[in-house]
Amino acid sequence: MKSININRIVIAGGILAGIITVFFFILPVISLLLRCSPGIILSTVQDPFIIHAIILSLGTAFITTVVIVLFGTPLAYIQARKEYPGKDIVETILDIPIILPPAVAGIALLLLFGKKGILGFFLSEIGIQVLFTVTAIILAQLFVAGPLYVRQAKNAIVMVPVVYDQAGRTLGASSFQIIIKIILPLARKGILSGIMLTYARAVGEFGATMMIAGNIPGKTQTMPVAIYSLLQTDMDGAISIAVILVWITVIILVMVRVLSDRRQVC
Amino acid sequence: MLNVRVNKQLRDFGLQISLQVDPGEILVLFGENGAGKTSLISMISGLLEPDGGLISLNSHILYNSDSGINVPTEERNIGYVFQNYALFPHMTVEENIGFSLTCRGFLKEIIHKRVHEWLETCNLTSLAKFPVTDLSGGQQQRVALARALIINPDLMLLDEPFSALDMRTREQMRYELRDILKKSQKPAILVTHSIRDATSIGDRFLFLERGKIIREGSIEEFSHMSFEPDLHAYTCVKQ
Repeated sequence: MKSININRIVIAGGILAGIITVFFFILPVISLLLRCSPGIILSTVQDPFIIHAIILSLGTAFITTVVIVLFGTPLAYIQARKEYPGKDIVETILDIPIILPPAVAGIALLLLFGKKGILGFFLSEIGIQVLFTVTAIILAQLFVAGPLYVRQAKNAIVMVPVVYDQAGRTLGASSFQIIIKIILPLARKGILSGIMLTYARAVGEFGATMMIAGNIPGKTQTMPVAIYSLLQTDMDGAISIAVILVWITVIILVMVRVLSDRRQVC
Repeated sequence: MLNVRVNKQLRDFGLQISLQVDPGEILVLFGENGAGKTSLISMISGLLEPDGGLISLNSHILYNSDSGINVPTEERNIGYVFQNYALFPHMTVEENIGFSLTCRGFLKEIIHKRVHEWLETCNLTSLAKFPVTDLSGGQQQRVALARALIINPDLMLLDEPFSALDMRTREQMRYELRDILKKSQKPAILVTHSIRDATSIGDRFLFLERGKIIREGSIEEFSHMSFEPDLHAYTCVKQ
């Protein structure tokens, strides 16, 4: 009798904790959505600078995601399937941007790509300016969001049993065919969620972007940077952009869920 | 004909094996779990590299430690049926069976024709479009066999092919497997720790213990030996 009561208390406590946690995450979003009417959003998105910020954020995040998928997937495969000296060091290096505060990442990139930086010096010598350009936004997003994709894709590949690679080899498949026809389709859910995380993180990137790309309306001002700017002068405008960001996130989440549930034929 | 003479230091013991399999012959590798049976066929298929020795198939050298030859798995043309079949779960039955032909760049019409021949041989025609995850254990085993045999392999390796089957299906599949293997006329090695599997399918047996062959002979001899008390101790199942 006593143990039944304890079980009920534990279950009730668990449900209560779950409800509190869910509300903690959803209430700020709800308060944001309640504060903003469709009319205010419509008038905000007619501002050419805001339109530019939206296009810039979505466009740079897209380029960042494509670049990191192209370069990060082979790295994720190597980290998941191959053994080599220094593998743990590479793993640790990939974790650094994830735990590094964005402001620190910004300073680090500033020192790298600044006119006196290791790379910036050579680039400026050949006439390439990185700081306060769209390229700087992409570099900041790559630095901050890229490791998330590599980590996620690596974990997804690790989850694919090695026996499928072996079966593929006995059937005459090359390493490339095994990756394309077996591993990637089987790891697609994890990889898609990695792409989603990377894109969402890149769209929302603020700290490092602010430091190396600046806040130039119509040029390098992304959506998060625009929210920060408008907070001082136009609260409704800032909320409108925040709501748009929320909707973008929701759409990405729904798209990825639909895609990963669909059976993929290789 | 397959000739094998390999050695490999495994975790708990050193494996040292010499064997020969004639065309059309089914050799049974028998022994308790961890005796080195799977390691041996992994070395033959190229999935595991021996420490030294020689492997040749139909007079082609697949591995020779002295001359540094080690033909990659994908070039050995050896059919391998894995313990749990390792069917690709994101593909249908026909996609699994035709996978090797797709990788080799065959024309779609040829792939379709050969896949359907094997679907018929293995009694799987009605299941062609089914995802392999929807099949029973016996049906999955037939898909694994068809997938391995469609490449017209020079050798078939079967690692505990009945372990995922229930008793009734197992009984039926033993005869089907022997029939399909005999029709293909390929030399085959069957790994098992079941006396019944060995006597139903094999022509000859090798008894392995801690990486060494401790007995070998015909299946008739094996049937007789399996009643000896010392050997009976090794065989956990006499089905």
